[in-house]
Amino acid sequence: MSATPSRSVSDQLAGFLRPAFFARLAVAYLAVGALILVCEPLLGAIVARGARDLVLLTSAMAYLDELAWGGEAFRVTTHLMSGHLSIDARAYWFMVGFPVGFAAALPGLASRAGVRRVLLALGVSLAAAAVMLALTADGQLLERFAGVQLHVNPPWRDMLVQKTVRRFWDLAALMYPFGACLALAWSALDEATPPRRERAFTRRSAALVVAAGLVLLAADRAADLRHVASRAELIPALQAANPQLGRIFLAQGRRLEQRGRLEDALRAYRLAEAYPGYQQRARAGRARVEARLRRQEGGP
Amino acid sequence: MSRDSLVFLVRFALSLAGFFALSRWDLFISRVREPYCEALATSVAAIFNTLGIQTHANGSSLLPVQGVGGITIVPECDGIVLLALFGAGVLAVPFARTARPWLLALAGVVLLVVLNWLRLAALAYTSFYHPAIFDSMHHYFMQGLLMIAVLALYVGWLRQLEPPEPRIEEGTPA
Repeated sequence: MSATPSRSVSDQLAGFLRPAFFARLAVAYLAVGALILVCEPLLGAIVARGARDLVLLTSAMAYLDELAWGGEAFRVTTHLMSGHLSIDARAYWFMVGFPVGFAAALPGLASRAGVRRVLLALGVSLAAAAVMLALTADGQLLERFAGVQLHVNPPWRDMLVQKTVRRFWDLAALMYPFGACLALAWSALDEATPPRRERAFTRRSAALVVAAGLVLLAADRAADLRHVASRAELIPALQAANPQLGRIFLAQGRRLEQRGRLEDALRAYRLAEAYPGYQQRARAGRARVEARLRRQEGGP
Repeated sequence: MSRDSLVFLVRFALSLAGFFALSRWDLFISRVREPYCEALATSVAAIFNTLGIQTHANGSSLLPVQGVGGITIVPECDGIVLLALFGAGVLAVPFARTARPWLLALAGVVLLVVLNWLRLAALAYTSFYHPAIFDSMHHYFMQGLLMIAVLALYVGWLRQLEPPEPRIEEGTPA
């Protein structure tokens, strides 16, 4: 540790973040929290869509059926197994709410730079929440698949996801808001610099926003294409790598049939039919369920 | 970005990485963090029982003697991450090697520990008596309060480092 103080950054931060700022931050954070409660369905749909695209883009196998927002939680379903997973939304809203509240509490909210700062914080925080949600969804699916010894990804990727989700989530969830606050405070200090620097900052940030938009658009298109391709091309590869899937789907079909979930059972039997050695039993199960469905609908 | 900012960021990131590696070390978790979680649960239960809120601590879980609810304090709830953020911020700033900054940083750490204890007590109370708002309290409002506390304590500590204003003598030009 240096004995000669060189503390211009810390001095600036300490001079900038005064008690009045913390009072504004508390009020802004509560206001943003209330807004999030009101806009929850819209924000949930945006974050879930982004996360779904990320999972599809990064997964070796497109096993994800849907990652959607519904009633205070994100729901994940997969075409390989029945049921769904729920991921609580509050931690993600903290990632969005705190940096946005911080940006709103900084001086100069009424100025163009202040508005830009809040919008930037909102956009980046929503994207960060989508990345975190994608990792969590991936991790939970991985855990579920591991329970039935189903391999959907290369081992290195599974290990990476597991480590990321289990070890980094809590740190990242706190680190992102803290890091975003430091970056926002610095950007506010930059606003106070001479006009020439401010103009340069504006050009750079505009270019970054455009580039980020283009990347997101491209990622979105790529994810859609991959989703379509997955159905036709990736599932046979998955079936070849996991011959035990036929047994799993057959057992799943029987369980669902016993519980009276006939549509889901039909789906499981259809999936089991693709596996040699299980086709006969799967067809028998499918015929049985189809007959029950016809009876329920009042048919012959 | 100025050189000072870069130095601050690099020191902050390196210190945080060091604290993080320590906090995730299996031996540290089993020997320090898990027993600490149990101690937190026991102490909250003791204070609740003194206040007439009948509570039972089982390991790191806090359960009401009657009724529903209860919380389990896992290592992620022990506040170590907050201490790591504050500690990394302290180590990121070059300051004179005297006892005062260290003592003030220690006081900040103690305050954060107390705040985290109060957070856990408030969460346990919420889970006993207002379970409907527990998730919002846990994941949204309490996290925000703690972040504001860390920022405020850190800025307060930075202020204490500021050198005293030069005294202007009478008759001396300002």
